[in-house]
Amino acid sequence: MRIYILSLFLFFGLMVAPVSASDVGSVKNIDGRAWITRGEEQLPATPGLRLMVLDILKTDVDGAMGIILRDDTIISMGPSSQMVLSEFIFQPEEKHMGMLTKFLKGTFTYISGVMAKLDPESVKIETPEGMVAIRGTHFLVKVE
Amino acid sequence: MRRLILILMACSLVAGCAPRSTFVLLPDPNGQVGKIIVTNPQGAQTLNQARQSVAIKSKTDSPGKIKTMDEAEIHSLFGKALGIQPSPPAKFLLYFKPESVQPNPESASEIPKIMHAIKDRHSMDISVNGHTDRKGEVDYNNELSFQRARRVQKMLEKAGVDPSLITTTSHGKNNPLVPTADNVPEPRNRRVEVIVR
Repeated sequence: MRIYILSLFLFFGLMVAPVSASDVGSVKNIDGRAWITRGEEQLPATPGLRLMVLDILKTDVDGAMGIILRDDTIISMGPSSQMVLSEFIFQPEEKHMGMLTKFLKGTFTYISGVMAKLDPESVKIETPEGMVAIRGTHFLVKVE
Repeated sequence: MRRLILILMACSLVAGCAPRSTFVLLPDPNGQVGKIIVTNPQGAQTLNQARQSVAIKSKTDSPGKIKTMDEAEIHSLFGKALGIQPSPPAKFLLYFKPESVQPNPESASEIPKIMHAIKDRHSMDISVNGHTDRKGEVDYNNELSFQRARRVQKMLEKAGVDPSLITTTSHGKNNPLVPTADNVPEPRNRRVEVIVR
């Protein structure tokens, strides 16, 4: 039986390569107007939009946005805010993890995810004035 | 334009215009209070009590004194960001018999609960992650975990989920829920995890 299943897998395996996620998370909630800047492109942020490394997230003067990353990190931004997802590697099997979020201006909430539990040292949050090392936590940041 | 330049110059001279970061620790969604360490090359401050806050005036100043921020100030500064904070994702586990790609009957009955969570949360982002226990070869288990995830993905699509909202990954034997020695069969590791964001 095992050999039969294995040979079936080998057969189908040639046609269907394992899928791996290239995105780092997605937009969950939007209030007012918000955008994602990706290279030269400026995309209006909408619920479900997949996020990529180096995306710049911005909210309008009356905007707010919430995102959920692949390791369950939850970030939200208030009005006139701007942040960058500078680095996000989440391959727990290979113990290959790293995350750098830069809060450039505005107000933010942050709930750490699986990465901070597995390897707290791999998670970094930066503002223009300093950085945060986290130990499994919910916190707020305001950058004037 | 001339006025703008004047304002920019004034800002660079007056400390009050300099950027400033404020950090506030809150309880986690489960009520526990964690810990953050706020650092820059000039110093460090550790926050480990609810509503403790610390500010850094500039890159050349060390983190200031630890204060406690009251609820009213938290609300006035962070109300909008807190108001839109997403709730933690809903997670489901479906289990499998050894070598099988069909979820156990009691796990298959999770599908309606998953559908309910997707509708309830208006989810546009669903992950389906396949795993095996540590019995057998790496390649075989990679393929088995992939086929398990695909099967659950198809079940969700059949129940009406838009395929473009689902991301499927497979992890083989390398990410056990319950750590075991190699080659040990473990029912709790033969699983597909569904995350509804």
